[in-house]
Amino acid sequence: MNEPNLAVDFAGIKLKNPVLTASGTFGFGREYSRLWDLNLLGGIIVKAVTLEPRLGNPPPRIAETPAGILNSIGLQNPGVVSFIRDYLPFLRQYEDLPVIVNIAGNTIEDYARVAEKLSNAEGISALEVNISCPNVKQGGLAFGTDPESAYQVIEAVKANTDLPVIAKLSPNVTDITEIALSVEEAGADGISLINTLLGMAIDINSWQPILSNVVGGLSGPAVKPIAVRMVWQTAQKVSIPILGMGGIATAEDGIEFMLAGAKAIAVGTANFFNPYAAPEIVAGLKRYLKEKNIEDVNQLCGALRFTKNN
Amino acid sequence: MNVYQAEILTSEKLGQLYHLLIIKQPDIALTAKPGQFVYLKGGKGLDPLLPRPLSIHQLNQKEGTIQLLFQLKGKGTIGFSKMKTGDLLTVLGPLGNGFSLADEGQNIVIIGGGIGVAPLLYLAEKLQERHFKPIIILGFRDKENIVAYESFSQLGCQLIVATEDGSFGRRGRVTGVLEEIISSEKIDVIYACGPQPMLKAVQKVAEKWEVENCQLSLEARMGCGLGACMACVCGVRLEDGQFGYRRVCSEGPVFNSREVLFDE
Ligand SMILES: Cc1cc2nc3c(=O)[nH]c(=O)nc-3n(C[C@H](O)[C@H](O)[C@H](O)COP(=O)(O)OP(=O)(O)OC[C@H]3O[C@@H](n4cnc5c(N)ncnc54)[C@H](O)[C@@H]3O)c2cc1C
Ligand SMILES: Cc1cc2nc3c(=O)[nH]c(=O)nc-3n(C[C@H](O)[C@H](O)[C@H](O)COP(=O)(O)O)c2cc1C
Ligand code: FES
Repeated sequence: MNEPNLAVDFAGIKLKNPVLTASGTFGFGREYSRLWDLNLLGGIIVKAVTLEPRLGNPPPRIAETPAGILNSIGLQNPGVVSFIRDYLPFLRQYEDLPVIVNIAGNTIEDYARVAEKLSNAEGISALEVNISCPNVKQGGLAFGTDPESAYQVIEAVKANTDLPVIAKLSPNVTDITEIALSVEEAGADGISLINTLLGMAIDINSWQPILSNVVGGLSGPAVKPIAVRMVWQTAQKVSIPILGMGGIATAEDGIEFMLAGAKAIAVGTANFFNPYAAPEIVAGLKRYLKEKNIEDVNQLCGALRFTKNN
Repeated sequence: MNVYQAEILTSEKLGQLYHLLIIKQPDIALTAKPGQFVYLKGGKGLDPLLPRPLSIHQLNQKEGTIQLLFQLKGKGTIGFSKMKTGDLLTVLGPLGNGFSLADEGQNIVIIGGGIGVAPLLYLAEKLQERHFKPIIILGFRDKENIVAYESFSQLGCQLIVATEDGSFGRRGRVTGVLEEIISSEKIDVIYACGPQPMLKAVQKVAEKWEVENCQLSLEARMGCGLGACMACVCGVRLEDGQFGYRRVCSEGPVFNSREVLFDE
């Protein structure tokens, strides 16, 4: 059999394979590029960028939980101006690596200004709008848990950019499809699912919370079933493509997301416990398609089958 | 720096509290500097999920081996201690900046507290190789907590051990001993690793006696270990005098004591 096709078109972004790295887990690419060629990726989603530099939360910022981690980084980043000047040029060296920039803000105006600034920079393929960060006091999650606010943020970003806009949604809601429909209506070109789940861990010797921020966002293999469920529910309702993430550590995990309806996938926490996770998933996906005699990875997208008992 | 599968050659229990592993990894053994660390995971299991940072305790370039000395704390370290000779560990490293070695002719004090002594043996050896005569001060809670005493005493440097309860060596804290030494002779460089209260006390002594080159090795909970996730930060005074955070994994773990701002 010929080599299977791994390329996908995600909201107008041409990806040579559907495997990306999730925002915040992969910095701006430089660190992992010391281990493997970033051109192996379908694309990279960089750490959240805000209008002004952000200091982030005090440490400890991370706690391990069973098959997962809680983080409360608090969007530490150098700000949009420094990102464009100091970090983006490095990524531009990779000719075949779409760069998606995750953006965050305290106000709708912040989102609009960051989007505008990034749209004037060269070498960016899309914006991923983070309306789901659980670790900041203002904005973030507040925008992602209310359909009306989510709509307004996406509308403002769309009005300030020609780049494809992907809305990154929070799982900390009762009905994910309500928010998904709202951002689709506001003009989002795609949806990323899921950001982290709000959680907490306590040190039983000191009787104190482990994170200085008290609560943090849960990610890693522990959240995968929730993420798959949310991708599946959302895929039933919207017609824009879904970028699935949440606990993906192997090609098999990624395939589950695609069958549930994701057109592309992102690897996050797995980078921490296996720095080669992303390229291994690309290779594993290809192997799976060959073994199953599937010519095109797009055939997996939403191909979930039901039996009469479903 | 890379990810390697390293075979365990020796796994040795050291009393109730500590453990020593000797692993085979020639690339790291050839390139690691004192104060650098490895990020270590046993197997592909999901609980514990993250690797654990451990310092290079000692290495043997000829044999391509690395020694890791650690205290049994929780899932991660207890898991490593149960692994057998011949088992494979996944090792990312060498990581971090490491200690910067002193200039010729400088007087050096090395201070370790508890399991903080781990990275200091390789440092002391490297300094000796370069004909320095560091004074080594090691502090422990009590006799039962003493670790690596033999290895340090074999170096032939001046070695002072203090226990808080006086059950071995001198009674008291390492920083008391440090001040005694500094008040009687000029010290140019201090290297320290240990629990945070000890490092804070060392920082104070260095400030008081104006020791410019005081290098502290810090600990922090880590995510990626590589500098990508911003999980492992510590508070510092930046060059422009402003407060900021630096990554312990990639910009540390060794920091000059003048820049570190504990508790922030
Ligand atoms: C650069 C560096 C070098 C180190 N070198 C050594 C060494 O040579 N020998 C040694 O005994 N210990 C060393 N430590 C501390 C060691 O990493 C922790 O004791 C270990 O991670 C505890 O894991 P655990 O699963 O046994 O404990 P748990 O308490 O169950 O760990 C839970 C989580 O917290 C993290 N954690 C807990 N304590 C620490 C700590 N003190 N520092 C960083 N993360 C922590 C763990 O990595 C894990 O993610 C070093 C730490 C750092 C940052
Ligand atoms: C340390 C850390 C930092 C993160 N930072 C961001 C961020 O800046 N912006 C964002 O949209 N998501 C951020 N996330 C969420 C991830 O991009 C991803 O949505 C989530 O972790 C679920 O995927 P995973 O289980 O594969 O990690 C972060 C996650 C982690 C673990
Ligand atoms: S552990 Fe990720 S930046 Fe240090």
